[in-house]
Amino acid sequence: MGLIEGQVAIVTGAANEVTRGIALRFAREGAKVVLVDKDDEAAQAAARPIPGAEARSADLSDPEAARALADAVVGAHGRIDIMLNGAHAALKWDRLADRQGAPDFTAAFNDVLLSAINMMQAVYPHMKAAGGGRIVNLGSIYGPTANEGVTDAVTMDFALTGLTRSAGVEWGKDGILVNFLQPAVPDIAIFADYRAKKGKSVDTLIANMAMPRLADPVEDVGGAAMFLVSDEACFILGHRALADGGQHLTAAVFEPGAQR
Amino acid sequence: MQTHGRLSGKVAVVTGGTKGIGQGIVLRFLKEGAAVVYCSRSPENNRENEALIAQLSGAAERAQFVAADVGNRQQMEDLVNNAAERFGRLDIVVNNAQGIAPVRSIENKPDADYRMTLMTGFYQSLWTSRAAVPHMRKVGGGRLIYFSSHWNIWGQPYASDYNITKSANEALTRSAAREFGKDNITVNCITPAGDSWAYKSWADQNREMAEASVRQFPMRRMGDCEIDIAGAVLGLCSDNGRFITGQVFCVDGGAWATAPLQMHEEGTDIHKEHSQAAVELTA
Repeated sequence: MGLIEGQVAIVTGAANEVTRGIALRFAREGAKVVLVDKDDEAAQAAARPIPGAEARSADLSDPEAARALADAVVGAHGRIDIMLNGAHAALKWDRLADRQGAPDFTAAFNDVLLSAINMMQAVYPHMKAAGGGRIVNLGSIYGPTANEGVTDAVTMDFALTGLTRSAGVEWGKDGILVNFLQPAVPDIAIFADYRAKKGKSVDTLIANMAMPRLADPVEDVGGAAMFLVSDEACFILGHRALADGGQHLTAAVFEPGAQR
Repeated sequence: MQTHGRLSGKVAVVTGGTKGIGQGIVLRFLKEGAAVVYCSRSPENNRENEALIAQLSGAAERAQFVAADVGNRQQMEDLVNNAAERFGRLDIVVNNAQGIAPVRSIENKPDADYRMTLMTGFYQSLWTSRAAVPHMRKVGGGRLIYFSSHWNIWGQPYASDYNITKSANEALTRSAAREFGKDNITVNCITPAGDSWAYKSWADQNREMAEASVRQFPMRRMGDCEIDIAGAVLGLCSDNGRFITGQVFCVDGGAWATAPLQMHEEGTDIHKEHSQAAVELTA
């Protein structure tokens, strides 16, 4: 018996390798996982290796699309126990002073923040009617730490921090626990490319970390996600949990100003 | 409550395991398959646990009570080392216990209160961690859990000794996480809001304020020691917590974000029967 046997989990941002690791962990612990991405092919590809997983595509920056998705999942599976908002926007590596005027946060705002708000509002009535649920918003190490050229990511991370805290306070009485998961630099393909180019600086910084290794998306980040959605964190809300082996305490910025 | 054998084969030490939060942790760990060595100052405190543990199938042989004073360095080192010897390994230490002095303003609080509070809180954590780490290295990793408090976050008046001790525990959390992370030992700190003996003794004397306070909790209730507080400790000590380290977790139904009101009259001994006026300095 898994820790979340028979539960239904929606996982958005399926194109992201870290998100897929969390989805696999949820499935391993007995959940029915619905993987969602804007890109239908990415959603299908993400669902394929995960036992029993189902793929759906939707642009969740549209509140109607988010509501339709939540209603469709309840229609098909009868419930939504877990909502993991895992959508990420690709970093633009723009510095604030690069251009006059407000920086272009459109992608980060729509795909990360707005999509999370829309899905939270869409699943809320279903979770409330069922007596509770778990919502996990996914951030990154850019927030607890910063680099040059990641204003979009850090700003969205703090926006998600506030969203998580406020929703947590409002929905605690409904048994809906909203928390924020911030994973460390993961051992995934795009990071391997960066490491190939900047091997020395990566090795130096890993050696200085509390737990000197990169995060495994399934075992490390997926484990922390399980902590937040299982009976373990049943009295924690509005809170952050870093799945980072202590990276936030040290220099998680591999090379200040370096563009990946 | 579901059990999943999450700590099967693991050996844990829990300080102050006979009532409230500590008792909840001992019982939850036993149900999840761990061997648990726990302490309290007097064997008389263990009667309730004996009865409860006897009802858990197969738990009695995995449970061991030790009479020990958490303000005594030798007794804390012995507690850890004997646990490792008796059960053949050591995986987890939970520093739940804390001596509490009467509430008093900084101007009136005697130095002895600061010493007692630090000895039974911060030094307890330090001594047991030092003793435990070599045992944990032998089995390829481990978990250290310290305790903080909302009083520390909020600068609760008349409890400066207590708040300072909890700050020290939080600082130790980060330092120990960085020093022992390479040994695959995680270190985290819990800020609980549990229906513990300490809370109950305050709430009994301040019923109106206690009710008003709990209405300010987003979850509208205090935590159950075994289900809610021990649940989070279990998660951090299980495989799920393997990459979570150096963090302070408020296990409190969201109270950290709304800061519910709890005030005390200066000079009252809010935990009368459990207070220690002073403790022998054994460091």
